[in-house]
Amino acid sequence: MSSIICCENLSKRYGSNLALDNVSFELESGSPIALVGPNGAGKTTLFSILCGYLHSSSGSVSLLGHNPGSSNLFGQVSALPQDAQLDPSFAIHEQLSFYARLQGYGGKAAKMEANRVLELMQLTETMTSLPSSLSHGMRKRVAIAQALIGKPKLVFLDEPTAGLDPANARNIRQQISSLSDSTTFVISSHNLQELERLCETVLLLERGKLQQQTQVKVNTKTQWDFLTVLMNDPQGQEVQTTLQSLASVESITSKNKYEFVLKYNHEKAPNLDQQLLKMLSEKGWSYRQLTRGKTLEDQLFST
Amino acid sequence: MSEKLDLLQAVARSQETVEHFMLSSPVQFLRSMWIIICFEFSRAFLSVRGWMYLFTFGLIWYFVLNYLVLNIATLVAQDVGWPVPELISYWRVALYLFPILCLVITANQTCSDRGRGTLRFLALRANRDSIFFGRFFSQMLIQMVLVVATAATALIAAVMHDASVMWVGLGSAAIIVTNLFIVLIPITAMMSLLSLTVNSTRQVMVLAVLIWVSASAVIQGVSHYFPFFEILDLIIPGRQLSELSDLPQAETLSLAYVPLLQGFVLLAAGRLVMQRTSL
Repeated sequence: MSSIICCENLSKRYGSNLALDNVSFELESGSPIALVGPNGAGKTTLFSILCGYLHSSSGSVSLLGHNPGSSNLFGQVSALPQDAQLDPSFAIHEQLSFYARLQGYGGKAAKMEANRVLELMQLTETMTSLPSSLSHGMRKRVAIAQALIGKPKLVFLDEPTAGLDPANARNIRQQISSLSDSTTFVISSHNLQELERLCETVLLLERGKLQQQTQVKVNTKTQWDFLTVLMNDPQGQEVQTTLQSLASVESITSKNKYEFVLKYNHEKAPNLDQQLLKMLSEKGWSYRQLTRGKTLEDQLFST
Repeated sequence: MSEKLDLLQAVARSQETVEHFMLSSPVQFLRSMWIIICFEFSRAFLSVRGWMYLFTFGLIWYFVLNYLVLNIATLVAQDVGWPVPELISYWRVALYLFPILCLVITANQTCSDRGRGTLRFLALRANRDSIFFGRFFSQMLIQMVLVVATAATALIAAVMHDASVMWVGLGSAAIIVTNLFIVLIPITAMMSLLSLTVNSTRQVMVLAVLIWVSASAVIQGVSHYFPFFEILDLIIPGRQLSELSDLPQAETLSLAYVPLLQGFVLLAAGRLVMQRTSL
């Protein structure tokens, strides 16, 4: 594994407002990385600095060993910038071919590359359309298509599925998953369920500070000590009491009438999940999902 | 099948080119700049909107040529040092027309793209110098096409009136085109710089006119009391125009240093702003 992004004491100030405050982290290439945080946390500012659109006020950043915006990164680093729009004067295919040519493709190969990325985003039929004739969702998909031109090693996606219908959001998740062997994606999103499915590493920014850098995978002891069960029907106190009666369960947290988080000692009761399933079956309580560990939302925001 | 294979090989070759070209920065700079110039050229001359602007320009130029240039040509006798009357009247009209037109044509070099975020797509693939100078040179070339086309119409009108002026006229037209190219450099560079500072074409044009008028007025006012400051007049693009229009043909390039120096300074300032600006 090699370091793909390295930030040291990164700060960005807009007048008196400190958008990023001494942010330091190091990320390795590999599985997709999530960047989460509330509105105004500094996610887009961080993305903009990493892409070379903004200059930091202090601190240092390197991507693949180069400064952001360096010509050494052309073709290797790509991005879906938030709210950026294509030129309204040119057809989509023409613009993507232009971008491919800037990345070093010849005329014919650039057109082929534009075809390829538009096919990936299921936009072949809109090749000759002007951006203004497309819906918001289609324009977003075209912008994602431009980020996939060539073989980038690192792709920043700022809210890639915001405003997309479920089918297209699913297609984008599938493309990210299928490309993640050769490309490291850094995804900023408010959709934690989506990030949970795609990413292994999560960065949490709050008020410009990096609060957490955590692993989503169930490979930490704290994650092994939790089970999250999602019931099919709303449940009352009885379920909570019954779950509590299982051996080694230390506590039960209920976020709503459907979802219960069991905290237990995994070393003492390694088969608690099986006991739980058996108990649910005996009681005739149908469940929708049983997850080892806590959800990403609980990991990041539970107190 | 074989066609598909050929295309795949072309992609593979291109990929090799990509890797090779990443290594050589000056080549990459020039190549990116050239691609941007071609793209802007196609915006001006190959798009529907471009054709509409060209058609409108052609229409206006038809009236300017017929009712202004050729009418003045009948009034001026052969001016000292200017052999073809149609071309001297063209020179005097074009010397003021193109700088004004330049404010309109070149205002939108980067402002709309920056406001819309399109520059962010470009900045992932081309460095800021390539974008800045690519846009500047494309505007210069587009204006040159218009200058050459209008100069050609004036020359054709002159030759139709008197075929013997053909070769002399060609020489005069070449000098006029060269002069206009040099005159337009600092004004286009000023628009490149201003386009980086505001977010709309209209704001760029308003700012350009304000700076032009207010800077001239301030320098004129100050130099009235302190004549030494008259030298500051040299910083205003187009300041030499009135002087230039009175010069004989052979001496017109003697003032070229003024716009060339202004252009150099404004481009250097624009490059600095481009490097520092947020996209």
